[in-house]
Amino acid sequence: MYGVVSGHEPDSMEFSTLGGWISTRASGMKKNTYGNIEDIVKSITFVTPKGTFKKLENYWPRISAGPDMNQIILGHEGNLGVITEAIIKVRKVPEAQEYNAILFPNFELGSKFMEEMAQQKLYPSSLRLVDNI
Amino acid sequence: MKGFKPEEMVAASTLIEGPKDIVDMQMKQLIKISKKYGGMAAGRENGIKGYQLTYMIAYIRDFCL
Repeated sequence: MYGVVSGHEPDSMEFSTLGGWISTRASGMKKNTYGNIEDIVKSITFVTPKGTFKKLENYWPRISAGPDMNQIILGHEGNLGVITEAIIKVRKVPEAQEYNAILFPNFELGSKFMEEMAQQKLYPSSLRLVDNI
Repeated sequence: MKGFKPEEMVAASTLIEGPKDIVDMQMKQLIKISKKYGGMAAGRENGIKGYQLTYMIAYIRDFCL
């Protein structure tokens, strides 16, 4: 409707939540293009027994001063509090989306291919090698 | 399939998103590199199937929990 996507697509996408993605420091299949949840989330409202934490409403890309307190919340897995609100980055719906599957004779050749892709810094949105079992 | 043993062969599924010309260029480069390692492109439909399987695995995992 707004022509934007978050690009965050974990396997559990159909039954997981934004708060859950932050709590578990989630990764998505298209992280090469859009980033993991720690790259996507901008601001978190976090309710703890000692009070509510919210990073200053800042929308700049990064800040050099001090540690990033969002990093303490990311991956806390419910141990420290409850996430009640979060602001995330969105991007325009991509113009093109191409799928493919490449067959390799064996796993060794497949992993050599993966290595060369990484060495050349050619990062498709998603690239995964699976065996046939 | 010629040169591919079903019990040994593997598949790399890929998805590339972005501006059309960049996506086309990346896919071309990916296929070129894959050929160096005996790779054979199996096409868009098989790539989509690979990703549908991923979402299914999430349900199996949820059931096991």
